[in-house]
Amino acid sequence: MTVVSYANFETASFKRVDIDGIWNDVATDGDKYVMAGSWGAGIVVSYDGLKWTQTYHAPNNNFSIGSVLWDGKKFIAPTNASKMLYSYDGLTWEESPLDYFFSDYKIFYDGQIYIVGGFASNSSPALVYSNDGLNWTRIPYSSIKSSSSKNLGNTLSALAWNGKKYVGIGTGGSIFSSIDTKNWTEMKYGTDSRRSIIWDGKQFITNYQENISDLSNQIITSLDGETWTKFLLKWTLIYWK
Amino acid sequence: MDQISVKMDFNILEIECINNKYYLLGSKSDFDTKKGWEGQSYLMVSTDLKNWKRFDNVAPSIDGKSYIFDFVILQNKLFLLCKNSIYVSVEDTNKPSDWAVPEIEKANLYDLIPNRINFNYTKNITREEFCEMVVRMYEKLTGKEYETDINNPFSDCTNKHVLKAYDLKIVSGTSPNRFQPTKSITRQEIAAMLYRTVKLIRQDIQIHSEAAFDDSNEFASWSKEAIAYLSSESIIKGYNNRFNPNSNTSREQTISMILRLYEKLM
Repeated sequence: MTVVSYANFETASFKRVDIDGIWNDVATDGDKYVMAGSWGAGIVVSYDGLKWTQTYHAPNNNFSIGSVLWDGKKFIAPTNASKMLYSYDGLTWEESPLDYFFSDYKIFYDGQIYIVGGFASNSSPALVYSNDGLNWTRIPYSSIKSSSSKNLGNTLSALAWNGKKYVGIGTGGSIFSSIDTKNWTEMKYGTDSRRSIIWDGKQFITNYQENISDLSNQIITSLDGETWTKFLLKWTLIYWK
Repeated sequence: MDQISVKMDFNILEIECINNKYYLLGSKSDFDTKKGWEGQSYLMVSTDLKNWKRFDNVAPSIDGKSYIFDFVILQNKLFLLCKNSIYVSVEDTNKPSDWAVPEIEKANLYDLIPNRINFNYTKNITREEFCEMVVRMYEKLTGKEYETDINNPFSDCTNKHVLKAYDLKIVSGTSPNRFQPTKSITRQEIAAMLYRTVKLIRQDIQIHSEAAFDDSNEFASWSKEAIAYLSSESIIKGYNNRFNPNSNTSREQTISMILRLYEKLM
């Protein structure tokens, strides 16, 4: 991904583009943007971000494509309808049957391994991985089962990787870590949902809430993914009028 | 411009860190039995995780239609993903000249560019904007915020950075009670101001002989020493052996000068 640092989004103008669907994710191969969504949105493609053309129509408008990834060779889009979608150009899509229902969260790829969370056909939580993005293997349920039944597999919302350790978070406040993606250790609970975690080059960062009505704007940070420090953000926002 | 501070509480939905900037999606909502869900979702940006600036250019309401579910930054576009709509940042038509891109990127890494100047790079810089940049550099070099309680002599400017620069004797007014903050600044004026800044930081600078530009006869007497010093140190460069002392200076040119000077003095 190329990021142009002079793109100053704080002062950029935004154009609203009306397009039916609930939109979940966007990826690019450097030439075009591919956007995936839920409940009939399917997959749409644009070369400028403003004009979009549907290239995959979700049958019966009844399933969700939670994320889309460009791995350098192909687009991969997990769905909640027992199929994984693939495309090498974003225009033509192949459906690959898979006995999992992937939730509306993002597929993780660190350059070597792909990971995505969802459910197996028997409704048990499933965390699956792949080394090529095509062939998927379920991580044993026992490896992701939490002591308090907050399972990473059915709640996985995001993963971060610092080069040595994977840290996953999800709804229910779960935090798990792993060094091999196969064996996970429960690290800490919050009491409400998390859906974002990053490694910023120095530390893991994720949000923290005491409870669902907690709007105190806290994050927790960790240098090693094990010891977490609560960090109260000063939300005194300064802007120019 | 007035600076407004607002205390805000949000649910944090998403955090990203891209190019040393943290982006955060937050929402605040309330449920009204008659009106349903009300509130707004915002994108915010920070360079240190402590001080956050809210994007004022896009703040969709939580009305079931334009609530932001997620955001994605790809290449030089930012997408805000909603229900039945998306928001896309429009291509910046004021992106910098190719030569300035690496210097702007470096200056951003040093956090030398105030947000209000960090766009429209080919636009001429104003006297007020220059004061903000030069004071920012001065404070970074000294490692502390410069405090001043000087009485404001200007009737047309209340900018605290201007007053700091005035108190430091980096700039002066255009008359005893006017500063003309939005007036463009000339190259020789910038040279003089940067030179005064150098002398605040370093007392042992070498005074150079007069700069050998073809248009040196156009230099004002008060700028000659500054131009000689800064050109010999390659802080300010001429073009075709002309300095063009009365030409205006763009934001990107100023950023380059400030960056070079900062790296020399740091």
